[in-house]
Amino acid sequence: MGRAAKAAALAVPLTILYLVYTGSWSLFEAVIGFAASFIVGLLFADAVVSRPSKLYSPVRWAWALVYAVLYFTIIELRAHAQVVKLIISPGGMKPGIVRVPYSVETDYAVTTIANSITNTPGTVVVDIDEKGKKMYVHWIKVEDETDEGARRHVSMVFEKYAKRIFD
Amino acid sequence: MTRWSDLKEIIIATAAALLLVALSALLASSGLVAAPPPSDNRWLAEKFLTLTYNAERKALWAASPEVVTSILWDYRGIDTVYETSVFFFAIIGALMLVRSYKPARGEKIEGRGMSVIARTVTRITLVAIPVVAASIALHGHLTPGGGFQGGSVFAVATLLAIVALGTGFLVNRGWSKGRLLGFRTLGLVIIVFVAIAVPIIGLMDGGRAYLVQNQEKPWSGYGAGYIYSVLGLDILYSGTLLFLNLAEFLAVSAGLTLAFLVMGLPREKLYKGGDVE
Repeated sequence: MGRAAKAAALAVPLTILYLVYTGSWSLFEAVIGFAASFIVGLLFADAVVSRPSKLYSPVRWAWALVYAVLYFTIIELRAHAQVVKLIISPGGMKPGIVRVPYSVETDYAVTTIANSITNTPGTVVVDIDEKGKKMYVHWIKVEDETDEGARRHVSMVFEKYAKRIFD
Repeated sequence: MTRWSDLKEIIIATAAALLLVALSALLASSGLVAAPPPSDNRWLAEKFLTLTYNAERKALWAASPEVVTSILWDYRGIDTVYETSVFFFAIIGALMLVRSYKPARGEKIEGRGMSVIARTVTRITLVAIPVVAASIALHGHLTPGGGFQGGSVFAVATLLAIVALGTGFLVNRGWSKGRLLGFRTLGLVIIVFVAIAVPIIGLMDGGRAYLVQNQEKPWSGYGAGYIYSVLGLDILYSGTLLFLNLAEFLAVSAGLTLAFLVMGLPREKLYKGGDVE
């Protein structure tokens, strides 16, 4: 894939960002925005995109949409309900750091999992072992100390969708 | 494959999301949460101006003739205290980014950079921030912002790249001291050229115009125009302003990036001297 092709592929989503930020949707703005985005793409696209075809896969986008809807409603609600319960029941907290293995390949998928875990207040990735494919997660209420058990509780859902969207 | 329980969750979540959107739309349209701005809110400014240092109405004064400070630290003081705490957390973020790392005994420090999470997020911002910067610079003559502001925003992207991905990331893709200095100088040269363009046109015509003249004056009929008509569109470019903003954008982007790059160089490099490479 040539440099210009990668830049052009990345320039489309960047143009949308440009238009959203500018707050104007005219064709003229889109043309100017695409030109600016293409130049940015020429500078940095190879650091962001490895296979441009993935960027245009409707299946991946569909899963991303499904995940976004799930994430900001049910998953978010459950995470916060859990923390509310912890706050109003004294002594319910059992913080600790657990080792959570993961099986996704791309940097984007790993980042998605790590950032998704953070939506439970107090539960956050503190370190990551890229070679051994393990995250070290500070868990606000440790329910299972084994690797696979922690994985089932903490990151299974996120991993499932991260794999479908990015891997 | 997707099981029935997954599908059920998706359906419930979609319904919840739609409900949220509908509720937001209802609240917004009924004027409950977002009342349309009044066409005239000068009374508020009037109040502040007449009350901050009004010794006859001490019940509402701030005892300071400086209206902005009065608003910031008195009338809306709690907001400012809150903002200060936000800034405090921003500094903690910055300290986290450039924290030092003490290796355990026998541990190799090489290759122990930022985590994959920090690096990936930085890569995304590395393309997103410059696009926003370009919009700020390109609309400098239409909305708040301009070349300097856009260039400063652009340099945030390269600063983050230097911190999270290392100086080598930029240097290895050819962002050398010489090149960055070159782009900065090119920006300045364009600014000088635009600054003298209208007076030179005036001189060649046998008339006179000011340095950095933009529009025609009653006593000096030379200007850089302001509307460009193409394909049935009338585009306002505001004379020299667009060109000056773009040149400034280039100069500030390259200049600040160069400054950050030099600051981020390892100590041995600076001892050895020479260019960034």
